[in-house]
Amino acid sequence: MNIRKIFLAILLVLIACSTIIYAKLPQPVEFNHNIHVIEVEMDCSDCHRYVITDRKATLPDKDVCSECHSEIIGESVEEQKLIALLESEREFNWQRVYVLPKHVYFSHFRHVTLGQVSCQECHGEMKELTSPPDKPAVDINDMDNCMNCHEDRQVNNDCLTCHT
Amino acid sequence: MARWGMVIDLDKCVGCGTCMASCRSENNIPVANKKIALDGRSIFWMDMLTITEGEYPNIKKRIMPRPCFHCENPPCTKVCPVRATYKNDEGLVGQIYHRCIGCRYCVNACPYNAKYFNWYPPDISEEQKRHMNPDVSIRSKGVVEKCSFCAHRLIRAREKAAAENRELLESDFTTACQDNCPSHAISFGDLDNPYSEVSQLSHSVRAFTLLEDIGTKPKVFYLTEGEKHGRFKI
Amino acid sequence: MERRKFLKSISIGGVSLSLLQLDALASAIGYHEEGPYNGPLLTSFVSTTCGACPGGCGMRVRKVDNIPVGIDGNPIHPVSRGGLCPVGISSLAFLIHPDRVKQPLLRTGPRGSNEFKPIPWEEAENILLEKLGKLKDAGIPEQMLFVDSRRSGPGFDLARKFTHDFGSPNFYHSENPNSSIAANIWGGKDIDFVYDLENARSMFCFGAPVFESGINPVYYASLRSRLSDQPEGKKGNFYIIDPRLSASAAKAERWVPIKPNTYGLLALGMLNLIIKEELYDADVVDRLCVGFDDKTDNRGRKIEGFKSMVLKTYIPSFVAEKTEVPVDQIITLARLFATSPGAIAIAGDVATRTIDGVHQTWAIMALNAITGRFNKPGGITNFNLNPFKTQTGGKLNARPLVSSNKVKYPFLGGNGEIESLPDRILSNSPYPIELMIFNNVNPIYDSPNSSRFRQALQNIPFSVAFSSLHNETTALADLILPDCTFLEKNDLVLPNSDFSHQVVGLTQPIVEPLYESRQADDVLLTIGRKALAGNWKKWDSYKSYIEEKADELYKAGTGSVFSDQFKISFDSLLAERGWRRTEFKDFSGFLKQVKKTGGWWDASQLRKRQQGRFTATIDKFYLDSKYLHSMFQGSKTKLIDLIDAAGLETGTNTEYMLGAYRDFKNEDEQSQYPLALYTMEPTTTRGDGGRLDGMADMIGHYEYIKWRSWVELNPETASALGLSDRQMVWVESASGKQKLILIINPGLIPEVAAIPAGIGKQGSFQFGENIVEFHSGEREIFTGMPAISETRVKIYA
Repeated sequence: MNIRKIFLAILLVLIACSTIIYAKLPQPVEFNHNIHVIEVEMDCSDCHRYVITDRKATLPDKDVCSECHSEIIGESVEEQKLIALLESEREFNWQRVYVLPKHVYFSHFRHVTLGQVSCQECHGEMKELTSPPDKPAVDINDMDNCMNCHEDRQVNNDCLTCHT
Repeated sequence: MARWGMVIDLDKCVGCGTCMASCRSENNIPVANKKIALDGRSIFWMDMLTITEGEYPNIKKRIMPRPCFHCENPPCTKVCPVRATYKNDEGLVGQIYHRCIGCRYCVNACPYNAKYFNWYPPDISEEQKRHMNPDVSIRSKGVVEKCSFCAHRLIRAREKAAAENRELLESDFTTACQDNCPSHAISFGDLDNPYSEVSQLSHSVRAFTLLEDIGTKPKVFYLTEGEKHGRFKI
Repeated sequence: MERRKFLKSISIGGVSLSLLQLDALASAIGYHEEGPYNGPLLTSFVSTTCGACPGGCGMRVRKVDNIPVGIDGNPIHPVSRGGLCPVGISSLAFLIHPDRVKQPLLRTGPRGSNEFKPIPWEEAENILLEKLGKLKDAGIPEQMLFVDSRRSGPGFDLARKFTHDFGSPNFYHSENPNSSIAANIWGGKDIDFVYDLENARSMFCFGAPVFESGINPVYYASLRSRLSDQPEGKKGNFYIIDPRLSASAAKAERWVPIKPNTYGLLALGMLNLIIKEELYDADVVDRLCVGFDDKTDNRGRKIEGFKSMVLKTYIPSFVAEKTEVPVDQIITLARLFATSPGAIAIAGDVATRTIDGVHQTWAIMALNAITGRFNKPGGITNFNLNPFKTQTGGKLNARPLVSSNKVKYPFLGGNGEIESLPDRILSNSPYPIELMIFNNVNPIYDSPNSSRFRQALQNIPFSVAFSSLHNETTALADLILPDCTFLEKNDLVLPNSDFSHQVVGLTQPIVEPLYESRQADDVLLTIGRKALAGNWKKWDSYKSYIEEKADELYKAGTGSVFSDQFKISFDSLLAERGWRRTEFKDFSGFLKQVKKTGGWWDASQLRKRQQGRFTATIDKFYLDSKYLHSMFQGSKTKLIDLIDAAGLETGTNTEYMLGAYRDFKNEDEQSQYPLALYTMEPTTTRGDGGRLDGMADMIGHYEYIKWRSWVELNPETASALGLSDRQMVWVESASGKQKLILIINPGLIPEVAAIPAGIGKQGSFQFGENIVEFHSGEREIFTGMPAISETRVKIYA
């Protein structure tokens, strides 16, 4: 038993934990934002349907994808995977990157439509990404991120505005 | 800025308990199981106070619904070491559950017993969870909770008004107990607006608040019953 | 590795880990998990009708992403006006109740052992078809018996038609028949009387804590609110004449404590004063009342009239002694009633559950008649609340198993009939019963005769129970069929309330039927299509059946869909001038509007009644018992025997048997069981409220009692018995005893024990005791309705 072994143990624990935490999120399809936003010139709300009108932006479901991808329109392997998935019985199980804490009332409508906050401010430059993000651009579990923005924009930062 | 308040007309109230039940379902208050209930730790944000005065047959019974009074001068906020409970600009006394450290100072400070401590983790089955109100968070064990005047409805009302590009109207913001009261005994609105129903009723000769002398200045007013209510003598 | 070093390494690892990623760890262990809502959280509202009790209040269910999350009152429903009772508000709990019947179950073990095996629906239907087929083939269809929980409406009609088309006269339903039978007796014919409460101002509620245990407390609460809103001098008053200072009595303007079961006597005592002081409406009495004054008959014999009888018998001091309402109060009450405009006497539902329930209702009605409240705004009028055409079908050969019988119960009906069933089943007379179908009824819990019912169910070859929850009756059934809760049903409902206009509430499914449940009406239709003659093929589902019924409403061209107050006034104004405003072009538009608003109603009577114009009036009120006597003509037994046997005192003249009051002839019983048992029915126990954990926490909230039954006593009575508050005591009646906690209630009249009803129901959230166990089987002498208010108990430590 020596100090080296202890270090080794700690290191092992850390590596194990970080792999658990930072393991690549297993998404059903390696979605390429870049192609959709830059090349096809789609809007965010084309797939995240409710981002302008409702509380939750929602991740696209099968109906949304199959509107364009009813048959193969590109050459990528991922699209073939998508079409196979669309034809199968299985539902998409997108892994959420932004998980809203339970005690927060957050509304996309309020921020995007009423507050005119651009998507990039919280979600970063999604259009650059060629694969799904593994971690959020802004950590929404950190209330400072919310508060700073609210203070900068001089909007209501009363507790009851978000915590119900 | 509005100053939200409530008026409960005891003349109209029939003591049915709908306010208690509707509050519970609106605000995801877990139903106490037998053990918790028998320990006297079931939670009712909207409770019913019953007071019996006199002896048979000259007896009078008063039944009054009791939400949190959202006092102008709340004793509970002053003792909170972490500002988990505070009074906001609109006069709502908020309770921020994730800030609460569970010291229960405020529970003891409240002279109206309107604050409840969660002694147990919420006993909610997966199926019940599906039917919970998504606007309100489920409190964990060890925090204090109380009536919020349905503050989540205010957020939604604001959103709705902004979407329609207009000012927030008083009628946009209603509480669950008010909506479901079968005898429409509860009115809710802006006390600062001299033309609102609540502000006019709160100045009625029948209006009173509980424990007026301790200076908490509750924003929930009661309208007293007619003198002969429930009396034996005709 | 040494233990200490190992712990150290772990702790260092832990600390560094926590410093690094506390939030991520938190999310990894599910601290921040989101609710079940993955959709956009779109909110929608569905209007439907509450089915927690027969009251039929309107509700709006809030759905988020199609999952129901909350229930609100429907603000434009004419009966409930946005209100609901605590049970209605909490009724989502019925949907996910742990006791729900999840699939059809066939009994495998002996009866009562609760051993069932799940079977598919096809098999269940085939079993039922086979049983029905056998009876039909053998030519004994009358040996099928059907008991339904409803009392009116399209679903009720369909179930009745099912039984009739099969060839069985044995269709029974649960209802308290006392007031309708009383109406037949005083009207001399079938009368659908209604109280015009919309225009009434002072309600004298005899034995009716109307804000909690009337037939629809929500309607009375809304009435109360509207009466309070009136300007000073026009405000309404509620007088609750009841033994207990209940929440309703506390909230009413006046509470008049009275000895239980003497409500009719008080009414007659008030009549005595009203007649003596000539406060009655002589003009109306002349036209309406038969037998008021003295007269001489053909043979020159002098017949004493009702007036003389009342003046002679019901003198205030006598009534005060019997009712324990002081004389000065009787005088004030009588004067108040006769002189206040818009005063009306209402007979409660619980109050009439005595051996002389019909007598009591009749006496209270006589009070209304003689003071001229008939066919007046805010009074009583003749009106059919059912807008649908109902056909009872042709006559069947077989006689029903139980029917009115001059020897015992001359006007058997509703629950009275159900109460008579077990004896007939057990004695196989006049014929045995082979198959029994229960549609959402639970007689083993509800009936005071439950032990006989239990025996009967043990002896019946096959019994089928439709039910959404497992209960005492399904436990004994051979086949349990999972019914939907009302939140999964399609239906049209006639609210059972004192609202005096035609209302049809729409019930529409909030969610698809959960588990394998199917709506009982749909199952009946499927069976009917396969096994019955008649036009059963017309409907492919119950939904199409009710759509046809809705079409009937549409074609009738009267009434309108629910709408706000302004539109209602506008509509009735138009209707007066023979016009009609429609918001829809055709039937599908009508249906769409009904679905949106929650129902249909006919407001055309509103203004008419306000102005005193009544479409159908009541033209006779028989104060003498001629109609009753005529029922007994040619039979050996006499009416007087019936009344005598029940221990009722008839006053002076046999002409006026309805003026009878009860006198305890059996003093033995009275000394042995000195306390009258008063049944409390808190709002929270309505329907199956006693089966919800949420209500278990609220029943008894005002007495600081949770999850248990209790018994209340007046402090004086308690101290005489040497009992103290919150002590466990035995409550014993002739038929059972229970150990309950004693609550001393100064708002209860002496010599009475009060116990809540509607709890002690079997299931996951079972608590408390069933009050019906105290009852030893007395029944109303005319209708056979269980006289649960008649029970007497003794209490000891």
